[in-house]
Amino acid sequence: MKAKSIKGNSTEEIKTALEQSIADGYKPSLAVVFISIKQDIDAVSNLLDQKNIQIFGATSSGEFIDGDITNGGIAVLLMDINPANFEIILYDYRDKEPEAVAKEMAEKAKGRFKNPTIILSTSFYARGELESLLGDQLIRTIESVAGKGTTVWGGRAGDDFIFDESVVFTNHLLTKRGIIMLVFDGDKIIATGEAASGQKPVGTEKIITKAIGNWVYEIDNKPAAEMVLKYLGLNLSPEEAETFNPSGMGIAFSVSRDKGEAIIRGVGMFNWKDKSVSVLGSIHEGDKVRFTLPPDFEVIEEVKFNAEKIQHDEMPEADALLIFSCIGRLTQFGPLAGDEVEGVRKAFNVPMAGFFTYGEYGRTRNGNNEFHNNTCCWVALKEI
Amino acid sequence: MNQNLRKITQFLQQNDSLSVEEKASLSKVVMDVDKELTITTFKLDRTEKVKRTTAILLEETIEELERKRKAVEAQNRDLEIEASLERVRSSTMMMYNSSDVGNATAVLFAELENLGIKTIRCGIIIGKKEEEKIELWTASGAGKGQVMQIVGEVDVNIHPLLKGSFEAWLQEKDFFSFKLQGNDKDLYYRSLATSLNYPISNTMGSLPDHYCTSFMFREGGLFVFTFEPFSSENSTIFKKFANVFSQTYRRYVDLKQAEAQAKEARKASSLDRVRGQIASMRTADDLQRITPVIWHELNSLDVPFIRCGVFIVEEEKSNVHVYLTTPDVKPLGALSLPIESTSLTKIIVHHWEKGIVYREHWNRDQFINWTQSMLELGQIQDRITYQGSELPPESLDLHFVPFVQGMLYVGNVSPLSDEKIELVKALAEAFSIAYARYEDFYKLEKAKESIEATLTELKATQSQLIQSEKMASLGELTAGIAHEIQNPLNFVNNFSEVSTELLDEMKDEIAAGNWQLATEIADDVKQNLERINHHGKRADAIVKGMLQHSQASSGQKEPTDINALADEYLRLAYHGLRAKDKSFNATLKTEFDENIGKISVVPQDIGRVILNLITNAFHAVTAPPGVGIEKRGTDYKPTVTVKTASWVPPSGGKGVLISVSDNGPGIPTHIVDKIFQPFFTTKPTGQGTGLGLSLSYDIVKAHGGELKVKTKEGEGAEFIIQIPIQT
Repeated sequence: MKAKSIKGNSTEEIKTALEQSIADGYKPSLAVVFISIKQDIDAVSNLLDQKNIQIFGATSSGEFIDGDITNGGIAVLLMDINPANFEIILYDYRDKEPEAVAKEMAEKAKGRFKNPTIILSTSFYARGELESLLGDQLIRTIESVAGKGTTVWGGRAGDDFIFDESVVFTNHLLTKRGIIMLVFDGDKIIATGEAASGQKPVGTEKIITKAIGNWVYEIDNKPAAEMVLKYLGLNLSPEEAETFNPSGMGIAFSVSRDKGEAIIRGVGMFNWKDKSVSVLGSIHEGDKVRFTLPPDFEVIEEVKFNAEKIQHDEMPEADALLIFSCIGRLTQFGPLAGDEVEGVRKAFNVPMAGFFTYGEYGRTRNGNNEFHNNTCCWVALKEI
Repeated sequence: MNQNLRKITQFLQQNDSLSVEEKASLSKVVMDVDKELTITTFKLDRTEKVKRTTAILLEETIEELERKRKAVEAQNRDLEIEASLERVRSSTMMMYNSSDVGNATAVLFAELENLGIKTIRCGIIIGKKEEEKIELWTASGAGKGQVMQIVGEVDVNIHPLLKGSFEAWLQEKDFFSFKLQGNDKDLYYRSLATSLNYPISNTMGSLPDHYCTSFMFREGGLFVFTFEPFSSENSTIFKKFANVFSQTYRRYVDLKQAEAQAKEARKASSLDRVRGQIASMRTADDLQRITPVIWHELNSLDVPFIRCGVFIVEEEKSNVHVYLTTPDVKPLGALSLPIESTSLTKIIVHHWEKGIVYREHWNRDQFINWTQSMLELGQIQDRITYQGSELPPESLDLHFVPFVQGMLYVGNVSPLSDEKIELVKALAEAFSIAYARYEDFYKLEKAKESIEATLTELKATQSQLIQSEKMASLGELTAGIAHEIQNPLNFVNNFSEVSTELLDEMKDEIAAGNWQLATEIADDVKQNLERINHHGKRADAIVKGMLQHSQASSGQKEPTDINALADEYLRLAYHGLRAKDKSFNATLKTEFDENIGKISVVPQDIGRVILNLITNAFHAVTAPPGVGIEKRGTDYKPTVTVKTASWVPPSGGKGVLISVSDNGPGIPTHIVDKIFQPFFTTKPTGQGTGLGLSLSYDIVKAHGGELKVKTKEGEGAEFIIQIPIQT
């Protein structure tokens, strides 16, 4: 497989870049498109469709094909992969429970390939309660059909920090409430990756005393939003608080589980009226949480080092690279966010595309598929 | 881009002295610097934010730790309090008798002090609902050395503090607090001092104003005096202690009850033992056994005494009998004093008549004087014995407890409590029963002696009767014996006459010198003399037999030919009757089993039985008309049959059977059951003793046998002697 990555800030720029890419006779069969919600998704889709390129698309909150991160732009990874080795499945879940839809899709994937490898994205209404179903539960549903060993990587579609609605799309379908899977034949396309976080729980353990869906109202019987502001050391006026967007602050809770490692839940939004905060992923009343501090800057070097090691040990000749990095990471690392992305890209030195997500899917180092927050998930692909 | 850097870039671009390459190179440097500056600014900013958050979290963590530390401290305090309470509970559990309550309460106050609660003093009140009183317990001394004391009861109406506490307890409130200040404070302590027989320190009234707080439990309250109002934390602690004390108090009450019950049980068992001993009294002498038991039980009931005794009042003789002993029943003296002889006896009797306890205290001199007076009256022999020791007691408290017949005396070195006197009373009552029994026995023994004398007389009469029975039967025999003796006598007479004639003839022959004939005659004479001797011996034997019959039997068993015995008595009886009544005639039948051999019996006794039965049988067959005579036809032949035979006793082994039967009128059914009873007779008064069959029955029984009768009215009777053969 040969891959090429292109980017642009408009459909025109993408058109130009695409033309250049295929000028040498390169015939991509698959395009992974990460695109700002502000862009003309249809136009870009048409562009690719005209070239008979199948599209796996998701809106983003910042996108990249190298260390340069754009916001509001388009990043595309083109691959001339054998169409027999992959299939793109997109389902809208509005008419059914997301869980049922995910099950159906996983069954389809499993029906198509004996050992499917899944690149996953979802679109959703960020303020809705269903959002939490597109996290752990989605992963568990897929595993329940395709098996625990199934490789799943991906990230939830973003909307440039608006936290309203995101989109996933293919050549002819586009939905704000959808699950999209790029299913590879795992026997033909090998994939390896890592989910890196570095978020550190600190402070005392607290209890979620009131939560509905993914909205937390009270922590230790105190208004959740006030607690979050307190930890940030911010003294905001009510007016400031109403417009305060915590998603850019890289705030996250570490939620302890009865078994295994604590998982990270990033804070999405404030609702100052009822002093609630939304978290990216599921949370329940009675959950024990700790506030976390962002990773040290050294994590960037660590992620790079790990990528180099995996490249060396497991996939010295990758064909392409996809990176799903949490929006929290963008704010946590600021101008250095690109360094992390570039560090991984350089390790493999192959065409790459990635975006800043509203939650990541990927296998942790201890071996389980998880839904993450504030994590950088990357996956290297190789067709054999 | 940083504004300054932008200015530098602009400056570089506008600087014509630089070449395009130089401008580009310098611009890139500026760009790189800008980037680094951006990164550094970001890092600083983020670090600042992280520091801020970290500081907040750290502060929070410290706060949390502080909270935890306080919680641990509070927990430690709680544990300390709980341990204290546990120690009080333990001391409560360790209470084995009610007096231990003092220790348990002292532990409670010591623990309160250990918990560092500053108090002026503490105590316990126990509410008495009906009386509107409270019982006051206070701790005297300080710290661990303090001792609880039940001070007494006080009327709650003497002061509002007490009234308030009492009301709070009645209303089951948790606590009640009262401030003692100014004159009221003095008033309180003065009121208390006058109500209680307990010294209250004069300094209490002069203390600065202070507070009394009582923490209520079910039975009362735990009160504490403090200079400051009680803190809520200390209140909580005191409340807990009050509840624990409630357990202590309940245990105290339980123990008191148990002790009262145990005391009652001890008293009861003590009395039971005395009653048991009384019940086992069999003679008047047994009273001597009971008296020590009384003293022993007094000891076991923890009644202290050094001397004791019984004063028996004989009203009719105006006398008092005194028996004094030591607690271990060493006799001190036995006095017999006329009631009027001493003031003590007078007053004792006076109290006895009224049925009330009398107490008197003697000092040494009074004891000596009394002893001296007793010596002078000759009631005691020596002083030392009476004292029971070398020296007279320094002090003696005399207690006289009345009972029906007198007073129980208990002397001790100090006065006995009412409770002890009650115990003495219980024992005095028991002793009274024993004494009454003694008196009964005494009377009984006198009666017994009189009965025994009567019995002796009766026995003598009876033996006389038996003798007369023997004589009567001897009379029966006399004729037979005479007849029996007549035969040998006839022989003796005849042979002696013949011998006299022969001797005359022999003399003639000797004179004639006819020696041969003389010798032949002498031989005949000798033969006659032998015959005379033989018949003489026979007569002798008959007489001896008769004597034997009339004498008491030796009781010695000897092998006896039963057939010969039976035969002899049959003939004796027959001839005896014939001798008396010439018209008497009866057929005698004997069916002797020759195989029975000699049997070991007392021959005189068995002979007497056989004789009695045969005589009875003869009488039956010759009974005068009117007794079954109508059944006798002209062909009636009076017949008496004597049989012997082997017999197998029901228990196995061997035996003989002697049967005497007649064909007389038989024994009427209504008297069959009575014929073996002594003195039963069908003969006219004076003709029979009524002892014949009774004695016969006893004799056969004495041989281990049976005497039975079979009879049918009009057909005769059969008496059967069954004797087992002793092997």
